[in-house]
Amino acid sequence: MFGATKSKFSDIRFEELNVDDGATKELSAKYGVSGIPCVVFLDGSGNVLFKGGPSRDVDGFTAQIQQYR
Amino acid sequence: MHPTSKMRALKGKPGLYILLSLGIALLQVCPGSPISPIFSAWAAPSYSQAESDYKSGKYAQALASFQALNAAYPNNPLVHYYMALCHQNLGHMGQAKAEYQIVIASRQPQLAPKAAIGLATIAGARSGSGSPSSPSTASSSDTNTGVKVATAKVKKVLEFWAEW
Repeated sequence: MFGATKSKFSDIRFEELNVDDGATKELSAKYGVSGIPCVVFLDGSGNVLFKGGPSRDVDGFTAQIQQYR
Repeated sequence: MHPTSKMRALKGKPGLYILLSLGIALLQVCPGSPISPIFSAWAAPSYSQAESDYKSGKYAQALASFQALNAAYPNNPLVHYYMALCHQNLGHMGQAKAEYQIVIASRQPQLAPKAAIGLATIAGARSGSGSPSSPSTASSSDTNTGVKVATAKVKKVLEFWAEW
């Protein structure tokens, strides 16, 4: 689902982060990630625009991202 | 049977043809007729075409098709969900919200949670509209369904996942 959505937005960088990785633990703490899966939308300056659960299908997730474009 | 084949089959029966024509004309004049849903279903666009239009980004066209499908087959949560997505993509947030609420009320196990996320997304985006916040002041929210001010454009999406 993440990969299919990614292909629709060439101007947005997508990163998949495994919370069990050491480096990711820092990021998940930084953004206050408490549930999995979780998506965080960032602007060009690194500010959080959205944090929450992703929609479960490509269309829903696409619509979710489009709210912030 | 294709409509034109139906007409050919009736050629040898002028009385029946006239009766059928009168019936269709009456349905168009009286849309509240008890048999009008049957006519609507016959005239409704196909679901796959509507879905294909949506996936191609033809949201207005897809919306019109889903609305026709809704008239022919009322109370289908999937149709309402797609109508919500179409409205959302077209910027009709009030109508999208109403459609999401219908899906949530249906308690359809697969669609109701998605509709709840869509509704939360709209609510968050709305709370951000008209806000004086600039991109540099946008900040995080702390709930798993929370949405924060959307005054800046998204440039990066992080997905946190785990191998369980």
